[in-house]
Amino acid sequence: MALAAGVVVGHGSLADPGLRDTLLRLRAARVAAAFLTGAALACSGAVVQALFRNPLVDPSILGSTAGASLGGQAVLLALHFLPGWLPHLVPELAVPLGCLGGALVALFIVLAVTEHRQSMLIVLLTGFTLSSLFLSTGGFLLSLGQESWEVGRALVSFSLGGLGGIEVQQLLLAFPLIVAGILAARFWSGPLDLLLTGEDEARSLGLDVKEARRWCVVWVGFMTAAAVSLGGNIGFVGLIIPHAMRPFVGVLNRHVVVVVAIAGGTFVVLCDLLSRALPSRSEIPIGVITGLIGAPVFLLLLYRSGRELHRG
Amino acid sequence: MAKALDVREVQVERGKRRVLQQISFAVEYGELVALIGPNGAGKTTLLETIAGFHSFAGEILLQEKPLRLLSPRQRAPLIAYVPQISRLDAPMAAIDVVRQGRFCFRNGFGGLSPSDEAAVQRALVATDTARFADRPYTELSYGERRRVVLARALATEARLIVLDEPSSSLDIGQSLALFDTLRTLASQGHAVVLVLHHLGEALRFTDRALLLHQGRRVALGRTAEVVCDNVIGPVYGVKLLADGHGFHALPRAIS
Repeated sequence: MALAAGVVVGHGSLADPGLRDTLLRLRAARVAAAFLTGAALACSGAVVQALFRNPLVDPSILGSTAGASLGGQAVLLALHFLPGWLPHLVPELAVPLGCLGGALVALFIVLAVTEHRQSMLIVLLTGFTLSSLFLSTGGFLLSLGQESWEVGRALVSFSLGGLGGIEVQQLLLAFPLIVAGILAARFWSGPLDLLLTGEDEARSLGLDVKEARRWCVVWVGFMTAAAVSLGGNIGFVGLIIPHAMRPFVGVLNRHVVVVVAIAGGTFVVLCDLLSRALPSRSEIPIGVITGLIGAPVFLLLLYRSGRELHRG
Repeated sequence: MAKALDVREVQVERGKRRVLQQISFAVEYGELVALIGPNGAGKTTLLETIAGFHSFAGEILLQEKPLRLLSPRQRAPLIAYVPQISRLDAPMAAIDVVRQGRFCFRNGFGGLSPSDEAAVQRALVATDTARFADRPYTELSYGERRRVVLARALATEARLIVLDEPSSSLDIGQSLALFDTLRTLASQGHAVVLVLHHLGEALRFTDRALLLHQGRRVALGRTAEVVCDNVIGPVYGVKLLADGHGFHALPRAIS
Protein backbone atom coordinates (compact mmCIF):
# COMPACT_ATOMS: atom_id res chain seq x y z
CA MET A 1 0.00 0.00 0.00
CA ALA A 2 2.86 2.36 0.87
CA LEU A 3 4.55 1.51 -2.41
CA ALA A 4 1.35 2.19 -4.39
CA ALA A 5 0.79 5.48 -2.56
CA GLY A 6 4.38 6.43 -3.30
CA VAL A 7 3.76 6.02 -7.00
CA VAL A 8 0.38 7.81 -7.05
CA VAL A 9 1.13 10.79 -4.77
CA GLY A 10 3.18 13.76 -5.91
CA HIS A 11 3.25 16.95 -7.91
CA GLY A 12 1.83 16.52 -11.41
CA SER A 13 -1.39 14.78 -12.31
CA LEU A 14 -1.49 11.24 -13.59
CA ALA A 15 -4.67 12.15 -15.45
CA ASP A 16 -2.53 13.87 -18.06
CA PRO A 17 -1.83 11.14 -20.65
CA GLY A 18 1.26 12.98 -21.87
CA LEU A 19 2.85 13.02 -18.42
CA ARG A 20 1.51 9.77 -16.99
CA ASP A 21 4.24 7.42 -18.26
CA THR A 22 7.07 9.77 -17.30
CA LEU A 23 5.63 10.47 -13.86
CA LEU A 24 5.01 6.80 -13.19
CA ARG A 25 8.53 5.88 -14.27
CA LEU A 26 10.14 8.62 -12.18
CA ARG A 27 8.02 7.87 -9.13
CA ALA A 28 8.51 4.12 -9.43
CA ALA A 29 12.28 4.66 -9.50
CA ARG A 30 11.99 6.97 -6.50
CA VAL A 31 9.85 4.52 -4.53
CA ALA A 32 12.25 1.69 -5.35
CA ALA A 33 15.17 3.84 -4.25
CA ALA A 34 13.38 4.78 -1.01
CA PHE A 35 12.59 1.15 -0.26
CA LEU A 36 16.13 -0.04 -1.00
CA THR A 37 17.63 2.80 1.07
CA GLY A 38 15.42 2.06 4.05
CA ALA A 39 15.98 -1.70 3.77
CA ALA A 40 19.75 -1.25 3.62
CA LEU A 41 19.94 1.19 6.55
CA ALA A 42 17.60 -0.83 8.79
CA CYS A 43 19.29 -4.14 8.02
CA SER A 44 22.72 -2.56 8.60
CA GLY A 45 21.42 -1.20 11.90
CA ALA A 46 20.29 -4.65 13.03
CA VAL A 47 23.67 -6.14 12.08
CA VAL A 48 25.82 -3.54 13.89
CA GLN A 49 23.57 -3.70 16.96
CA ALA A 50 24.14 -7.45 17.15
CA LEU A 51 27.81 -7.09 16.30
CA PHE A 52 28.44 -4.58 19.08
CA ARG A 53 25.91 -6.12 21.50
CA ASN A 54 24.47 -2.66 21.84
CA PRO A 55 20.97 -1.65 20.70
CA LEU A 56 21.97 2.03 20.71
CA VAL A 57 24.37 1.92 17.78
CA ASP A 58 23.62 2.34 14.10
CA PRO A 59 25.61 2.01 10.85
CA SER A 60 27.18 5.44 11.31
CA ILE A 61 29.15 4.01 14.24
CA LEU A 62 31.68 2.45 11.85
CA GLY A 63 32.26 5.74 10.07
CA SER A 64 31.03 4.22 6.82
CA THR A 65 27.97 6.50 6.56
CA ALA A 66 30.07 9.63 7.03
CA GLY A 67 32.72 8.17 4.71
CA ALA A 68 30.14 7.45 2.01
CA SER A 69 28.65 10.90 2.44
CA LEU A 70 32.09 12.54 2.17
CA GLY A 71 32.89 10.45 -0.93
CA GLY A 72 29.63 11.58 -2.56
CA GLN A 73 30.26 15.22 -1.64
CA ALA A 74 33.82 15.08 -2.96
CA VAL A 75 32.65 13.71 -6.29
CA LEU A 76 29.87 16.34 -6.55
CA LEU A 77 32.48 19.02 -6.01
CA ALA A 78 34.95 17.45 -8.43
CA LEU A 79 32.29 17.15 -11.15
CA HIS A 80 31.75 20.88 -11.00
CA PHE A 81 35.20 22.30 -10.46
CA LEU A 82 37.18 19.61 -12.30
CA PRO A 83 34.85 18.62 -15.15
CA GLY A 84 37.54 16.68 -17.01
CA TRP A 85 38.48 14.68 -13.93
CA LEU A 86 36.04 11.86 -14.57
CA PRO A 87 35.78 11.92 -18.36
CA HIS A 88 34.64 8.35 -18.96
CA LEU A 89 32.10 8.12 -16.18
CA VAL A 90 28.40 8.86 -16.44
CA PRO A 91 27.77 11.63 -13.86
CA GLU A 92 24.86 9.67 -12.33
CA LEU A 93 27.27 6.85 -11.51
CA ALA A 94 30.10 9.04 -10.30
CA VAL A 95 28.38 10.03 -7.02
CA PRO A 96 27.44 6.43 -6.07
CA LEU A 97 30.96 5.30 -6.82
CA GLY A 98 32.27 8.16 -4.70
CA CYS A 99 30.04 6.98 -1.85
CA LEU A 100 31.28 3.43 -2.23
CA GLY A 101 34.87 4.63 -2.29
CA GLY A 102 34.34 6.76 0.83
CA ALA A 103 32.69 3.91 2.73
CA LEU A 104 35.42 1.47 1.75
CA VAL A 105 38.15 3.90 2.83
CA ALA A 106 36.41 4.22 6.21
CA LEU A 107 36.07 0.46 6.56
CA PHE A 108 39.66 -0.14 5.46
CA ILE A 109 40.87 2.22 8.19
CA VAL A 110 38.60 0.63 10.82
CA LEU A 111 39.76 -2.88 9.89
CA ALA A 112 43.42 -1.84 9.73
CA VAL A 113 43.32 -0.13 13.12
CA THR A 114 41.45 -2.99 14.77
CA GLU A 115 43.31 -5.87 13.07
CA HIS A 116 45.51 -6.49 16.09
CA ARG A 117 43.27 -4.88 18.69
CA GLN A 118 40.19 -7.01 19.05
CA SER A 119 38.41 -4.79 21.57
CA MET A 120 34.99 -3.56 20.47
CA LEU A 121 35.74 -0.33 22.31
CA ILE A 122 38.64 0.31 19.93
CA VAL A 123 36.32 -0.32 16.95
CA LEU A 124 33.72 2.08 18.35
CA LEU A 125 36.27 4.79 19.11
CA THR A 126 37.86 4.41 15.68
CA GLY A 127 34.46 4.66 13.96
CA PHE A 128 33.51 7.67 16.06
CA THR A 129 36.80 9.43 15.31
CA LEU A 130 36.50 8.71 11.60
CA SER A 131 32.91 9.97 11.54
CA SER A 132 34.01 13.22 13.17
CA LEU A 133 36.90 13.57 10.75
CA PHE A 134 34.72 12.88 7.69
CA LEU A 135 31.95 15.20 8.87
CA SER A 136 34.47 17.99 9.46
CA THR A 137 35.99 17.41 6.03
CA GLY A 138 32.48 17.38 4.56
CA GLY A 139 31.88 20.76 6.23
CA PHE A 140 35.06 22.05 4.63
CA LEU A 141 33.91 20.82 1.19
CA LEU A 142 30.56 22.49 1.81
CA SER A 143 32.32 25.80 2.43
CA LEU A 144 34.28 25.35 -0.80
CA GLY A 145 31.05 24.59 -2.66
CA GLN A 146 29.46 27.86 -1.56
CA GLU A 147 31.43 29.58 -4.34
CA SER A 148 28.83 28.18 -6.72
CA TRP A 149 25.15 28.43 -5.73
CA GLU A 150 24.26 25.24 -7.66
CA VAL A 151 27.04 23.16 -6.12
CA GLY A 152 26.35 24.51 -2.66
CA ARG A 153 22.69 23.61 -3.00
CA ALA A 154 23.53 20.13 -4.31
CA LEU A 155 25.91 19.53 -1.41
CA VAL A 156 23.40 20.73 1.19
CA SER A 157 20.66 18.66 -0.43
CA PHE A 158 22.93 15.58 -0.45
CA SER A 159 23.90 16.00 3.19
CA LEU A 160 20.25 16.42 4.26
CA GLY A 161 19.16 13.40 2.25
CA GLY A 162 16.85 13.28 -0.69
CA LEU A 163 15.52 10.86 -3.26
CA GLY A 164 14.57 13.29 -6.01
CA GLY A 165 15.99 12.77 -9.50
CA ILE A 166 16.99 9.14 -8.96
CA GLU A 167 18.26 7.58 -12.18
CA VAL A 168 17.80 3.94 -13.17
CA GLN A 169 21.60 3.54 -13.42
CA GLN A 170 21.90 4.45 -9.74
CA LEU A 171 19.29 1.84 -8.86
CA LEU A 172 21.05 -0.78 -10.95
CA LEU A 173 24.31 -0.06 -9.11
CA ALA A 174 22.78 -0.06 -5.62
CA PHE A 175 20.28 -2.92 -6.03
CA PRO A 176 22.75 -5.85 -6.18
CA LEU A 177 24.82 -4.42 -3.33
CA ILE A 178 21.80 -4.04 -1.06
CA VAL A 179 20.20 -7.37 -1.92
CA ALA A 180 23.53 -9.15 -1.51
CA GLY A 181 24.03 -7.34 1.81
CA ILE A 182 20.63 -8.42 3.14
CA LEU A 183 21.19 -12.01 2.02
CA ALA A 184 24.64 -11.95 3.64
CA ALA A 185 23.10 -10.62 6.85
CA ARG A 186 20.60 -13.47 6.76
CA PHE A 187 23.42 -15.94 6.09
CA TRP A 188 25.41 -14.57 9.05
CA SER A 189 22.41 -14.43 11.38
CA GLY A 190 23.58 -17.52 13.30
CA PRO A 191 26.99 -15.99 14.08
CA LEU A 192 25.28 -12.70 14.98
CA ASP A 193 23.06 -14.55 17.47
CA LEU A 194 26.14 -16.21 18.94
CA LEU A 195 27.84 -12.83 19.38
CA LEU A 196 24.96 -11.83 21.68
CA THR A 197 26.56 -14.16 24.19
CA GLY A 198 29.97 -12.44 24.09
CA GLU A 199 33.08 -13.13 22.08
CA ASP A 200 34.65 -15.81 24.29
CA GLU A 201 31.49 -17.85 24.57
CA ALA A 202 30.80 -17.45 20.84
CA ARG A 203 34.33 -18.68 20.11
CA SER A 204 33.87 -21.64 22.44
CA LEU A 205 30.71 -22.59 20.52
CA GLY A 206 32.63 -22.71 17.25
CA LEU A 207 32.50 -19.19 15.83
CA ASP A 208 35.54 -17.62 14.21
CA VAL A 209 34.81 -14.23 15.77
CA LYS A 210 37.43 -12.33 13.81
CA GLU A 211 36.18 -13.61 10.47
CA ALA A 212 32.53 -13.02 11.36
CA ARG A 213 33.22 -9.47 12.46
CA ARG A 214 35.28 -8.70 9.37
CA TRP A 215 32.59 -9.95 6.96
CA CYS A 216 29.77 -8.22 8.79
CA VAL A 217 31.69 -4.93 8.75
CA VAL A 218 32.30 -5.29 5.01
CA TRP A 219 28.65 -6.03 4.22
CA VAL A 220 27.44 -3.20 6.41
CA GLY A 221 29.86 -0.92 4.58
CA PHE A 222 28.53 -1.93 1.18
CA MET A 223 24.91 -1.54 2.25
CA THR A 224 25.37 1.86 3.85
CA ALA A 225 27.41 3.09 0.85
CA ALA A 226 24.64 1.98 -1.50
CA ALA A 227 21.99 3.59 0.72
CA VAL A 228 23.87 6.90 0.97
CA SER A 229 24.46 6.91 -2.78
CA LEU A 230 20.70 6.70 -3.33
CA GLY A 231 19.30 8.89 -0.59
CA GLY A 232 22.16 10.87 0.92
CA ASN A 233 22.50 11.09 4.67
CA ILE A 234 19.23 9.73 6.11
CA GLY A 235 19.42 9.36 9.85
CA PHE A 236 17.67 7.26 12.53
CA VAL A 237 16.43 4.48 10.22
CA GLY A 238 19.16 2.05 11.27
CA LEU A 239 18.56 2.92 14.90
CA ILE A 240 14.80 2.92 15.40
CA ILE A 241 13.55 0.27 12.96
CA PRO A 242 15.38 -2.69 14.57
CA HIS A 243 14.31 -1.32 17.97
CA ALA A 244 10.70 -1.04 16.90
CA MET A 245 10.58 -4.50 15.29
CA ARG A 246 12.27 -6.62 17.97
CA PRO A 247 9.22 -6.66 20.29
CA PHE A 248 7.29 -8.31 17.45
CA VAL A 249 9.87 -10.68 15.97
CA GLY A 250 12.12 -11.41 18.95
CA VAL A 251 15.89 -11.14 19.04
CA LEU A 252 16.90 -14.01 16.74
CA ASN A 253 18.63 -12.34 13.82
CA ARG A 254 17.42 -14.80 11.20
CA HIS A 255 13.98 -13.22 11.69
CA VAL A 256 15.15 -9.73 12.58
CA VAL A 257 17.29 -8.94 9.52
CA VAL A 258 14.58 -9.82 7.03
CA VAL A 259 11.71 -8.13 8.88
CA VAL A 260 13.65 -4.92 9.57
CA ALA A 261 14.70 -4.73 5.93
CA ILE A 262 11.03 -4.77 4.87
CA ALA A 263 9.96 -2.43 7.67
CA GLY A 264 12.86 -0.03 7.03
CA GLY A 265 12.06 0.08 3.33
CA THR A 266 8.39 0.78 4.04
CA PHE A 267 9.28 3.44 6.62
CA VAL A 268 11.50 5.38 4.21
CA VAL A 269 8.88 5.10 1.43
CA LEU A 270 6.31 6.65 3.80
CA CYS A 271 8.77 9.35 4.92
CA ASP A 272 9.50 10.14 1.28
CA LEU A 273 5.76 10.32 0.68
CA LEU A 274 5.45 12.83 3.53
CA SER A 275 8.36 14.86 2.22
CA ARG A 276 6.46 15.28 -1.05
CA ALA A 277 2.94 15.60 0.34
CA LEU A 278 3.44 18.04 3.22
CA PRO A 279 2.73 21.64 2.24
CA SER A 280 5.98 23.46 1.64
CA ARG A 281 7.54 25.84 -0.88
CA SER A 282 9.81 23.03 -1.98
CA GLU A 283 10.24 19.38 -1.11
CA ILE A 284 11.17 18.79 2.53
CA PRO A 285 14.47 16.84 2.74
CA ILE A 286 13.75 13.25 3.75
CA GLY A 287 16.51 13.37 6.37
CA VAL A 288 14.50 16.09 8.13
CA ILE A 289 11.37 13.89 8.12
CA THR A 290 13.19 10.78 9.44
CA GLY A 291 14.85 12.96 12.08
CA LEU A 292 11.59 14.55 13.20
CA ILE A 293 9.92 11.13 13.48
CA GLY A 294 12.95 9.14 14.54
CA ALA A 295 14.25 11.26 17.42
CA PRO A 296 11.03 11.29 19.51
CA VAL A 297 10.30 7.64 18.70
CA PHE A 298 13.79 6.69 19.77
CA LEU A 299 13.44 8.68 23.00
CA LEU A 300 10.12 6.93 23.66
CA LEU A 301 11.68 3.50 23.05
CA LEU A 302 14.59 4.45 25.28
CA TYR A 303 12.23 5.59 28.02
CA ARG A 304 10.18 2.39 27.80
CA SER A 305 13.19 0.09 27.77
CA GLY A 306 14.68 2.02 30.70
CA ARG A 307 11.44 1.66 32.64
CA GLU A 308 11.31 -2.09 31.94
CA LEU A 309 14.93 -2.40 33.04
CA HIS A 310 14.09 -0.49 36.23
CA ARG A 311 11.13 -2.79 36.91
CA GLY A 312 13.17 -5.92 36.07
CA MET B 1 42.19 -45.23 25.60
CA ALA B 2 42.86 -41.66 24.48
CA LYS B 3 43.04 -39.04 27.17
CA ALA B 4 40.31 -36.43 27.12
CA LEU B 5 42.82 -33.72 27.90
CA ASP B 6 46.59 -33.66 28.03
CA VAL B 7 48.26 -30.45 29.18
CA ARG B 8 52.05 -30.45 28.77
CA GLU B 9 54.43 -27.83 30.13
CA VAL B 10 52.00 -25.00 29.48
CA GLN B 11 53.05 -21.41 30.04
CA VAL B 12 50.87 -18.34 29.61
CA GLU B 13 52.03 -14.74 29.67
CA ARG B 14 49.98 -11.59 30.00
CA GLY B 15 52.05 -8.64 28.97
CA LYS B 16 55.42 -9.23 30.60
CA ARG B 17 53.94 -11.24 33.47
CA ARG B 18 53.99 -15.03 33.37
CA VAL B 19 50.65 -16.13 34.86
CA LEU B 20 51.06 -19.88 34.31
CA GLN B 21 54.35 -21.74 34.51
CA GLN B 22 55.12 -25.28 33.38
CA ILE B 23 51.67 -26.71 34.07
CA SER B 24 51.21 -30.37 33.19
CA PHE B 25 48.34 -32.71 33.90
CA ALA B 26 46.02 -35.08 32.08
CA VAL B 27 42.33 -35.93 32.44
CA GLU B 28 40.76 -39.30 31.65
CA TYR B 29 37.20 -39.86 30.55
CA GLY B 30 34.85 -40.58 33.42
CA GLU B 31 36.54 -38.40 36.03
CA LEU B 32 35.87 -35.06 37.67
CA VAL B 33 38.97 -32.96 38.20
CA ALA B 34 38.97 -29.79 40.32
CA LEU B 35 41.29 -26.85 39.74
CA ILE B 36 41.81 -25.29 43.14
CA GLY B 37 43.98 -22.59 44.63
CA PRO B 38 43.83 -19.16 46.23
CA ASN B 39 42.68 -16.08 44.31
CA GLY B 40 45.15 -15.18 41.58
CA ALA B 41 46.58 -18.71 41.42
CA GLY B 42 45.77 -18.97 37.69
CA LYS B 43 42.82 -21.39 37.83
CA THR B 44 40.52 -19.46 35.50
CA THR B 45 43.41 -18.58 33.17
CA LEU B 46 44.28 -22.27 32.91
CA LEU B 47 40.65 -23.19 32.21
CA GLU B 48 40.34 -20.46 29.58
CA THR B 49 43.62 -21.52 27.98
CA ILE B 50 42.32 -25.08 27.70
CA ALA B 51 39.14 -23.65 26.16
CA GLY B 52 41.28 -21.89 23.54
CA PHE B 53 40.99 -18.26 24.64
CA HIS B 54 44.66 -17.50 25.30
CA SER B 55 47.86 -18.11 23.41
CA PHE B 56 50.32 -20.31 25.24
CA ALA B 57 53.67 -22.05 25.09
CA GLY B 58 53.80 -25.83 25.52
CA GLU B 59 51.20 -28.26 24.26
CA ILE B 60 47.54 -28.96 24.93
CA LEU B 61 45.95 -32.01 23.36
CA LEU B 62 42.18 -32.50 23.12
CA GLN B 63 41.51 -36.15 22.35
CA GLU B 64 45.15 -36.26 21.19
CA LYS B 65 44.60 -33.37 18.74
CA PRO B 66 46.80 -30.29 19.24
CA LEU B 67 44.60 -27.44 20.45
CA ARG B 68 46.52 -24.77 18.57
CA LEU B 69 45.87 -26.49 15.23
CA LEU B 70 42.10 -26.61 15.72
CA SER B 71 39.79 -23.90 14.37
CA PRO B 72 36.95 -22.81 16.66
CA ARG B 73 34.54 -24.93 14.62
CA GLN B 74 36.76 -28.01 14.95
CA ARG B 75 37.32 -27.35 18.65
CA ALA B 76 33.69 -26.90 19.70
CA PRO B 77 32.65 -30.58 19.33
CA LEU B 78 35.65 -31.61 21.45
CA ILE B 79 35.41 -29.27 24.43
CA ALA B 80 32.42 -27.49 25.97
CA TYR B 81 33.05 -24.37 28.04
CA VAL B 82 30.70 -23.15 30.75
CA PRO B 83 31.57 -19.65 31.99
CA GLN B 84 31.07 -18.49 35.54
CA ILE B 85 28.62 -15.87 34.29
CA SER B 86 27.38 -15.88 30.73
CA ARG B 87 27.42 -12.48 29.04
CA LEU B 88 24.17 -13.34 27.27
CA ASP B 89 21.50 -10.81 28.18
CA ALA B 90 19.15 -11.09 25.21
CA PRO B 91 15.55 -12.20 25.81
CA MET B 92 15.76 -15.23 23.51
CA ALA B 93 13.91 -18.40 24.47
CA ALA B 94 15.94 -20.76 26.64
CA ILE B 95 15.69 -23.47 23.99
CA ASP B 96 17.23 -21.12 21.42
CA VAL B 97 20.14 -20.58 23.79
CA VAL B 98 20.58 -24.36 24.03
CA ARG B 99 20.35 -24.62 20.23
CA GLN B 100 23.43 -22.39 19.99
CA GLY B 101 25.33 -25.45 21.13
CA ARG B 102 24.71 -26.98 17.72
CA PHE B 103 26.19 -24.03 15.82
CA CYS B 104 29.39 -25.88 14.95
CA PHE B 105 27.38 -28.51 13.08
CA ARG B 106 25.36 -26.08 10.97
CA ASN B 107 26.06 -24.55 7.60
CA GLY B 108 24.72 -21.39 5.95
CA PHE B 109 20.98 -20.87 5.81
CA GLY B 110 20.15 -24.37 7.05
CA GLY B 111 18.21 -24.90 10.28
CA LEU B 112 18.77 -27.66 12.78
CA SER B 113 18.63 -31.24 11.56
CA PRO B 114 16.54 -33.85 13.44
CA SER B 115 19.74 -35.16 15.03
CA ASP B 116 20.61 -31.62 16.18
CA GLU B 117 17.15 -31.23 17.71
CA ALA B 118 17.52 -34.61 19.41
CA ALA B 119 20.82 -33.48 20.95
CA VAL B 120 19.13 -30.29 22.17
CA GLN B 121 16.32 -32.29 23.76
CA ARG B 122 18.79 -34.61 25.49
CA ALA B 123 20.63 -31.59 26.90
CA LEU B 124 17.35 -30.10 28.16
CA VAL B 125 16.44 -33.36 29.87
CA ALA B 126 19.91 -33.85 31.37
CA THR B 127 19.82 -30.40 32.98
CA ASP B 128 16.11 -30.44 33.87
CA THR B 129 15.51 -27.31 31.83
CA ALA B 130 12.83 -28.64 29.45
CA ARG B 131 9.97 -27.24 31.56
CA PHE B 132 11.05 -23.64 31.01
CA ALA B 133 12.58 -24.10 27.57
CA ASP B 134 10.16 -21.64 25.96
CA ARG B 135 10.62 -18.86 28.52
CA PRO B 136 12.90 -15.91 27.72
CA TYR B 137 16.39 -16.44 29.08
CA THR B 138 16.40 -13.02 30.74
CA GLU B 139 13.27 -13.87 32.74
CA LEU B 140 14.84 -16.95 34.34
CA SER B 141 16.33 -17.04 37.82
CA TYR B 142 20.10 -17.02 38.20
CA GLY B 143 20.21 -20.75 38.91
CA GLU B 144 17.96 -21.54 35.93
CA ARG B 145 20.20 -19.49 33.65
CA ARG B 146 23.25 -21.43 34.83
CA ARG B 147 21.48 -24.67 33.96
CA VAL B 148 20.51 -23.37 30.51
CA VAL B 149 24.13 -22.43 29.80
CA LEU B 150 25.18 -25.90 30.99
CA ALA B 151 22.53 -27.39 28.67
CA ARG B 152 24.00 -25.38 25.78
CA ALA B 153 27.42 -26.85 26.56
CA LEU B 154 25.96 -30.36 26.68
CA ALA B 155 24.21 -29.81 23.35
CA THR B 156 27.65 -29.66 21.70
CA GLU B 157 28.00 -33.32 22.73
CA ALA B 158 31.64 -32.62 23.54
CA ARG B 159 32.97 -35.29 25.90
CA LEU B 160 35.21 -32.86 27.73
CA ILE B 161 33.36 -30.20 29.75
CA VAL B 162 35.17 -27.38 31.50
CA LEU B 163 33.33 -25.17 34.00
CA ASP B 164 34.43 -22.00 35.76
CA GLU B 165 33.15 -21.91 39.36
CA PRO B 166 29.84 -23.57 38.45
CA SER B 167 28.42 -23.45 41.98
CA SER B 168 29.14 -19.81 42.80
CA SER B 169 25.99 -17.87 43.74
CA LEU B 170 23.87 -21.04 43.69
CA ASP B 171 21.90 -22.05 46.76
CA ILE B 172 22.64 -25.37 48.42
CA GLY B 173 19.85 -27.22 46.59
CA GLN B 174 20.95 -25.90 43.20
CA SER B 175 24.58 -26.75 43.95
CA LEU B 176 23.73 -30.32 44.90
CA ALA B 177 21.63 -30.73 41.76
CA LEU B 178 24.45 -29.34 39.64
CA PHE B 179 27.08 -31.68 41.07
CA ASP B 180 24.65 -34.56 40.73
CA THR B 181 24.31 -33.73 37.02
CA LEU B 182 28.09 -33.48 36.62
CA ARG B 183 28.62 -36.82 38.39
CA THR B 184 26.03 -38.42 36.09
CA LEU B 185 27.84 -37.00 33.06
CA ALA B 186 31.15 -38.41 34.31
CA SER B 187 29.56 -41.80 34.87
CA GLN B 188 28.34 -41.64 31.25
CA GLY B 189 31.93 -41.21 30.08
CA HIS B 190 32.41 -37.45 30.04
CA ALA B 191 35.52 -35.81 31.44
CA VAL B 192 34.75 -32.82 33.66
CA VAL B 193 37.25 -30.15 34.69
CA LEU B 194 36.02 -27.44 37.00
CA VAL B 195 37.41 -24.46 38.84
CA LEU B 196 36.26 -24.56 42.45
CA HIS B 197 36.71 -22.09 45.27
CA HIS B 198 35.07 -24.17 47.97
CA LEU B 199 37.46 -26.88 49.05
CA GLY B 200 34.58 -28.76 50.68
CA GLU B 201 32.88 -29.13 47.31
CA ALA B 202 36.13 -30.30 45.73
CA LEU B 203 36.59 -32.88 48.48
CA ARG B 204 33.03 -34.12 48.28
CA PHE B 205 32.32 -34.13 44.55
CA THR B 206 35.56 -34.52 42.58
CA ASP B 207 37.90 -37.44 41.97
CA ARG B 208 41.17 -35.56 41.61
CA ALA B 209 42.40 -32.05 42.24
CA LEU B 210 45.12 -29.85 40.80
CA LEU B 211 46.33 -27.27 43.31
CA LEU B 212 47.77 -24.08 41.80
CA HIS B 213 49.62 -21.28 43.54
CA GLN B 214 51.07 -18.20 41.85
CA GLY B 215 50.73 -19.79 38.44
CA ARG B 216 52.56 -22.97 39.39
CA ARG B 217 51.39 -26.52 40.00
CA VAL B 218 51.76 -27.33 43.69
CA ALA B 219 50.02 -30.70 43.85
CA LEU B 220 48.03 -33.11 41.71
CA GLY B 221 46.36 -36.24 42.95
CA ARG B 222 43.28 -37.73 44.53
CA THR B 223 41.30 -34.87 46.00
CA ALA B 224 41.50 -36.26 49.54
CA GLU B 225 45.28 -36.33 49.25
CA VAL B 226 45.50 -32.75 47.97
CA VAL B 227 42.89 -31.15 50.23
CA CYS B 228 44.72 -31.90 53.47
CA ASP B 229 46.47 -29.68 55.96
CA ASN B 230 50.06 -30.36 54.98
CA VAL B 231 49.38 -29.53 51.28
CA ILE B 232 46.64 -26.90 51.46
CA GLY B 233 47.78 -25.22 54.67
CA PRO B 234 50.99 -23.56 53.46
CA VAL B 235 49.37 -22.41 50.20
CA TYR B 236 46.31 -20.79 51.76
CA GLY B 237 48.02 -19.84 55.01
CA VAL B 238 45.50 -21.77 57.09
CA LYS B 239 45.31 -24.72 59.42
CA LEU B 240 42.78 -27.35 58.36
CA LEU B 241 40.95 -29.06 61.19
CA ALA B 242 39.13 -32.19 60.14
CA ASP B 243 36.28 -33.70 62.14
CA GLY B 244 33.62 -36.30 61.48
CA HIS B 245 31.49 -33.92 59.44
CA GLY B 246 34.09 -32.29 57.23
CA PHE B 247 36.82 -29.79 57.93
CA HIS B 248 37.29 -26.25 59.17
CA ALA B 249 40.05 -23.78 58.51
CA LEU B 250 41.72 -21.44 60.94
CA PRO B 251 44.33 -18.77 60.23
CA ARG B 252 47.70 -20.46 60.54
CA ALA B 253 48.92 -17.83 63.00
CA ILE B 254 46.08 -18.64 65.45
CA SER B 255 46.57 -22.35 65.22
